[in-house]
Parts: sequence; structure tokens; C-alpha cells
Amino acid sequence: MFAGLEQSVTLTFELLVAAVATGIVLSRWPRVCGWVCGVLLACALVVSSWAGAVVSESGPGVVALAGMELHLTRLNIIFIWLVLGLGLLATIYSVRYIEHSLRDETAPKHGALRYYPVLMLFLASMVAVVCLSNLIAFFIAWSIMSLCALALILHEYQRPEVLAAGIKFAIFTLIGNAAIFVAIMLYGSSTGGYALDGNGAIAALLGQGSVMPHLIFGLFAFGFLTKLGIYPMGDWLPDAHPAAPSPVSALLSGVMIKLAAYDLAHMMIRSDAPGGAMAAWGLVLAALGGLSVLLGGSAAAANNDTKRLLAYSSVSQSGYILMCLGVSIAFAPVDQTLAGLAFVAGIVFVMADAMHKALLFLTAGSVLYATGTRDLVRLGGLGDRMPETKLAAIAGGMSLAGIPLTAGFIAKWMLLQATLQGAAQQPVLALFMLVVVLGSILAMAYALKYVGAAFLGHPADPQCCLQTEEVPSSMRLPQWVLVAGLIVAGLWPALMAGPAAAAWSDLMPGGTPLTGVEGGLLLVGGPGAVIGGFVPAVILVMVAVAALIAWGVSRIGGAPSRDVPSWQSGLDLPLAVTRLPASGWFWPFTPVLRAMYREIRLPAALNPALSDASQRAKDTERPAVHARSSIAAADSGE
Amino acid sequence: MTLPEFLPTIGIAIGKMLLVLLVAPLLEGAIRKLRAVIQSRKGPPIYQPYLDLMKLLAKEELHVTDSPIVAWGPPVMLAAILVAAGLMPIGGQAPALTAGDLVVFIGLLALANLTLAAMGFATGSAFSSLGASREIMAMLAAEPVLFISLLVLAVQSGSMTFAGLLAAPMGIVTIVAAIAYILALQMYVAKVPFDITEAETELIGGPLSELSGPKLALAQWTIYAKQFIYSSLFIQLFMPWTLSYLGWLPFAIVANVLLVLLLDVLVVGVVMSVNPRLRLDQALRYGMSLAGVASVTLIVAAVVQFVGR
Repeated sequence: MFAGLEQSVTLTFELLVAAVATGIVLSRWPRVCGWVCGVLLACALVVSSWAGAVVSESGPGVVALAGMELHLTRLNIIFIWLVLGLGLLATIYSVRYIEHSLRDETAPKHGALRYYPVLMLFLASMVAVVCLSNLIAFFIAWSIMSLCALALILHEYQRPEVLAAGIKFAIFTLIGNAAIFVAIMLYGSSTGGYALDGNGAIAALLGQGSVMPHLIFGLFAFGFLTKLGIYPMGDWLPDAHPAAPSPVSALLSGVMIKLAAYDLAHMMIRSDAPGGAMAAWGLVLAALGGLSVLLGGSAAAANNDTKRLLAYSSVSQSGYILMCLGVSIAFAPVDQTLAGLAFVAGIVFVMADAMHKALLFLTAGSVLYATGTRDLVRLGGLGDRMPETKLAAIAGGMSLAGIPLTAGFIAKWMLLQATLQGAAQQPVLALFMLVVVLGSILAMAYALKYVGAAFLGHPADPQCCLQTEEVPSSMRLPQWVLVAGLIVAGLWPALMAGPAAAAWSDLMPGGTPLTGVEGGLLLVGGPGAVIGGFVPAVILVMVAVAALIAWGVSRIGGAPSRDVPSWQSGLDLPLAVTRLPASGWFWPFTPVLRAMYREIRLPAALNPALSDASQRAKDTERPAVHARSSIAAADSGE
Repeated sequence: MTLPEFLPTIGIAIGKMLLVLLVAPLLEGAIRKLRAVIQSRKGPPIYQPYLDLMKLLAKEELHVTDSPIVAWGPPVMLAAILVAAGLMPIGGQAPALTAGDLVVFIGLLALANLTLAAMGFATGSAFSSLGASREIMAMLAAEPVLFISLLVLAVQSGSMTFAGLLAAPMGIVTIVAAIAYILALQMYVAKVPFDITEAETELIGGPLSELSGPKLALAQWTIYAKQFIYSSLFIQLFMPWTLSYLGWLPFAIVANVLLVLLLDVLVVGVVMSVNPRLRLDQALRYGMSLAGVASVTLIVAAVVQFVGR
């Protein structure tokens, strides 16, 4: 019955192993190496699609590979596609991007050998993490994934801040993985097996009044939340993402941290534990997620470093995902349809955030490639020189901010519906709606700050930004693919919600309250009672008509037009001097927003590279003094 | 359900868009008139905003930047606001089919605000940029109150659709939510004392300062339309009894427009005539306190629902 399944899964892994081997063999010719790896990944993606087709037709399947059982459910398939799809795009992007760090004379030797094989192994281990259901095997794959992530973060380890970020990641990951390992051992000893298949053992233990299941859940939650980047245990994230090469940041943020959310939710929902215990765990997790939404969002809005800003926004978006999954965990034993809605919201969030966060990290990489800086205070006006990257950043930013007709909005729409429905059973969920609203406004603030400060307006230093060129086409292509994905998914939500709902029905019987309009989302509360609806196609038609009306109105008068310089209160100053630098945005709240998120500082003895790194953080965060000093510099120059 | 079934809904929505487009400037004219009366001036005629818009539409347009954001911003802004108007109920009648619910409505309003802010940054002028930066912070003050006071209705009816919100039972929590909404109305419409984004006397119009001619006309029209939407939403959702006894829809629509006019003149007009502008941090503190009150109301509403089940 699953004949095709077994072959395609085996072939997928063989292709990934071949990609690792290719990376090693061809590492002397980095560009060739990158393209061959890309082709192999594309093949793996196609082959795994066959497995996906089989699973979605004939239901979940189990495949034996090298003596281990691989479980393929529709949920796993979503994550495999995310890993391989984003992996492919990141690899294509890397071909030109990584060259300039390889050419850097101060860079350590064997750059390509430390990059492509590790990247391919990273992807392969993530696919394995998704499929393996035996906890011991899972932990091995998980550890390999963590090590590969460390090696990729440390790619440019000659820079002290990269070294410091890598050490911080290593320490946090060590603690998190230790917690997961202890949890697995406790799980094995108390349930008598390492298979995670909802055999009711956890539920039975809870029934006997044992605290062991709570200890296991707590350790698992701690470990997975460390990887997910939830504050405070995920504080490695804002340091590690800017340190890694941009395509790697896109993968770390786009997929790796999401695997933790997947594993946590899968583990807790499959445990079949009874309602009371799960409600408490779910709400605690959702509350932690809400905290991250607000803290990460504030820190992102106050930050002036392109990639660090996006890293903080990952903290915030991870918080949203954890909120969805927490609500789902809380309701799974008592109300499967509501839990299903929250779960679908979480998975749609994972897909949308994977796309727009990967896209934004790639655009940040393009900015870094073209200008050599990540400093939003110096950047500006890149849109004129890099129009395609600017459009990509705008699309990504709109999705990140949750604007209707983009993928990011669908996820937020579902989360709000789920919290509203949940509030009738758990009134405290009403507070989460407030968190979602505040988080969305902060998201608009940081998305606009990233796009606006880098691509709009004027640069502080015309040399920095006005003589750049658009990045090579192999770097633009992945950006365009992701832009298309965001828009198509935003206009046709069933593309994301359909697979996610199918994944839920594999986990739990009961389905979701989402029903079909063509390509739209309708939420029904009872027979014939629509309690929420969003039909993007109809909204699109209305927007088109309204825009036509607006455009027609603006043409009625037949007004002429003329180019003039911007008005400077009658002073003859260049815009580079009078402009509002990114450090002055959202003043006077910037210090308040920044102070919300407290970085966890490791003792210097643990991290010898730390002092340089903290110095650098102070430099790039740039308080408002910068505005005055840039004017002073311009004055003294003239 | 198939997409063609939504065609009548789209037709009605377009009717609502045109109504809002035509009526909205009248509110501004009435407010200006009242302000003049309070300040012992004669004031412009009530139809002055229509004349202003007509003049702007024919006036020369001054480009300070080639950025497509500035070129396309004003139509996008107006379109987003008009679509929001198309989704909301009018004359006490919600759309029969839900193409977009409260969340979509709020999302479209956010799109308009975000576009305004993006235009401000795109011109690169210090005044516009500062206004744009303030626009986002002003949203942080105003939007939570708006959304949460509407969510109080949503929690009570268990539905996010406007039809559901209209059917929400009236209770003490509804009244508290209504008070929070009306106290924050001035923030939504961004009039004195909350005209922090535009702040003519310090930021010479903020994000609008580099717009001229038809673009400025569209931006102004957006602001007028927003004013209509926020005021009309209050009448629709918190005072549905004012419209429900009028059986015939055209009557109800006329009553709706008149009530909006009355509300704007009595609340927005009076408040803006007797207050100086607040600082951004004062506005944020005011907004956050109201949001706090509204959140408590929201939780009370949820608990009431919970106990009632």
C-alpha cells in the first residue's frame, strides 16, 4: 500500500546524503558546488512531493529506513516541504552571497568546506527530526541539527561578535538539549518505551496522581522553548541570527526554530492527557508566548540593526506560534474543534512566518551584500538602486505586519478567532486578544522601520547607498519565489489552511470549524451560523473597485505636475542632514521599548568573546545623540 | 458557498463606498462651522470641504520623490478605508454574507495608517518622517481601545461578524465599552487634542506635508472618510436602537447619517474647540488607561459569558 512511499522517502534521504557528499567533494569550486547542491535539493523536493501525494491520498504511513521507523503524516509532510523548499531557496541564494565572505582575506580557510556540506547536513537532520518517532533516534537527529546550526552560525568566526554569539548559542543549546535528554530518559523509564505514539501511558500516570508527567512536560517545554526562541530561555536568538550568514539566518528563523514548536505541540497533544492538566500547561505556554510577543516586538521596534531587528521579530512571531499551540494544547482534551482551529492557526503561522521571515532575512542579506552594512541609521534610499529587493522587502514587511491579503494576516485572523471562541470557556483568553492587538501594532512598527529606514528616504552617507547595485539574479530569484508564495497564500488561504486542517485530522478526530468557501475561510459556530469570515477574493475585487474609484477621482481635475525639492523650512540643507535617522524613530518611546527586553548576560568566564560583543551592541543601538552628531559632522565638513 | 454568490454583497458594498465618499466631507464642514461659532467667528459655509477637495483635485501636483509609495499611497489609503466602509453595517443592516469580519475591518484600517506612515518616510523630509513615526505611536495609543471595545461585543455574541456584533445583547459591560469607545473617538479621528501626527503648528501637516494637488485631496478625503466610519460604527454597534425602529432602509440610512453628524458636532467638534494639543506621551498614557479599562470590561464580559453557559 505504501510501496511508493518507502521508495520516495528513501530516495529523498539518499539525495540529501548525496548533497552532503557533493558539498565535500566540490568544495574547491564553491559556485559549482552550490549549484549542484541546489539541483540535488530540488530533486529531493520533487521526490518528497511524491511521498506527500501518497500520504495525503492514503493516510499516514510508517516507513522503515536503516532499522528506524519514520512516521509520515500530513503534518510531517508540511514541515518536510518547508525544510526542503526554504533549503533550496537558501542554497540558490548562497551561491553568490557566500562568495564575498569566502573572498574576504581575513576569513579563515576552507570557507566553502565549512559551509555547503554543513548546510546540507543541517537540512537532512531537520528532515530526520520531523520524521523520527523513536525518541532516542529523534534526539540524535536533533543534536546533529543543533551542531550544524552552531557550525553555520560560526561561519565567520574571525569576528569577535560572531564568536560570542556562537558560544552563547552553544551554552543555551547545551542546557536546552540536556533538558530534552533528561525528559526522554524519564519518559522511557516511566512509560517503558521510547515510541511517541499516544499509547496512553502518560495519561495513565496522570490518573494515578503522579507528578512524573508534569516533570517530563516541564523539561520538554524548557528544551523546546529554548530552541523556539521564547524569552527568556531563547535569548540566544537575537545574537545568533545577525551573526550567521543571511541565508542561514533565513533557515534558522524560517524552519529550525519552528521544529521546536512542532515537536512540543505534537508531543503534548499526542500524550492523550486529561483536560485539567493540559489546560494548565496550555495556558502557561500561551502566556509565555504572549510575553515573547510583546517583549520581542518592543525590542525589534527599538533596534537599529537590520538583522537584529528581524531576529527580535522572530522572538515575537515565535511567541504567536506558541500562543496558538498553547491554546490548542489547552483545549485538545475537551473541545477538539476549537483546539483544531488554534492548531491550524499555529501551523498557518509557521508557514507564513517561514516565508516572510526567510524573505526578510534574504533582503537583509542583499542589503548587506550591496552596502556592507547592517546599520539602519546609515542606510536609506536603497529602493532607488535596488527596486526588486525593495518590493520584496515591502511584501515581506506587509505580511509580517499582518496586513489583509498577505499570508501573515490569515494566521492572525485564525488566532483571533480561536482566542475569541476560547474566551467563552477560559475567560483569561480574552487578555490574549489584547496581546495580539498590541503585538500587531508593534509588528507594524518594526516592519515599517526595517523597510522604511533601509529602502525609503535618504541615506546618511550618500557613498554608502547611492552607488550600490541590485544584487545578482540568483539572489533575486529566491526573493521573488517567496514574494509570490506570500501573495498567493494570502489570496487563497485554503492553500495553507487546507493542509493544516488535514494534518489536524491525522492527530485528532473531530475536525475544525473552518468550512469552505472557494478559497476563503468561513467559521461556523452552529448550524448555519457564520461567526467569522474572510474571503480574500471578494476583498480583492472590492479593493480593485475602490482603488479604481480613488484613481478616477484623482484624475478628474486633470492636474498638471512638476518636480520640486523637498521643503526644509526655507533652509538650504541636504536631505542627508535634515533626515530623521532610524535611531530617532518612535521617539520618545524608543528607550522604553528597548528596556522592555532584558538581554541575558552570561558570566564573562563562560564567554571570553563577550566583552567585544557587548561593546558592539552598544555601538549599533545608537541613542538619539547620533542625529545631532551627524549634523555636526556635516557642518564641520562644509 | 461559491464566489458568484458574493456578487450582490459586492454591489451593496460599492454603494456604501460611494455613500461614504459623498457624505464624509459634510462632517468636516459641520465641525468647522461649530468650531467657528464657539470661537465667535462666522466660519466657512458647511459645504466648504467639498470646495476644498474640488480645488485640490485641479491643482498642480509637486513631486518631491519618484517613490512609487508616494505615487500609489493616497489611492491605496482611500481604497482601504472605502473597503472597510463597504464591510461595515449601515442603517442598522449588516452585509448578508461575510466577506470580511471585524478582524479584516481592523486590518484594512491598519493598512491605511501604515500606508500614510510609509508615505511619510518615503519623502525623506524631516517633518514627514517625524509625523510618520508619530503615526505608529498614535496607533499604539488608539487601536487597542478601538479593538477591545468592539471585542466586548464580539465576546458577548460569540461572533466576529458584523451581523453578530449588531445582535450582541445590551448590558452593563456594553455601556462601559461604549463609554471607552466614545472617550477614545477623538484619538481615532486624530483631531485636536490628538492631532499629534499632523500637528500643523509643529510638523506642518506631518506625513501630509509633502503631498499636494490630487494626492492631498485623496489623503484629506481618507481622513474625512475615517471620521465617518469611526462615528458611524459607534451609532451602529452601541446605539442600534436608534436605527432599529426605522423599518425602511433608506430612512435608516438617512437617520444614520444625521446621527453621525450630530455625534461628530457634539463630541468631536466641541472637544477639539476647547482643548490644546496633547504631547505624544500624554496621549499614549490616556490611550493605555482607556485600553486598561476596556480590557477589564472585556474580561468581565468573558466571565459573564462563561458563567452564563
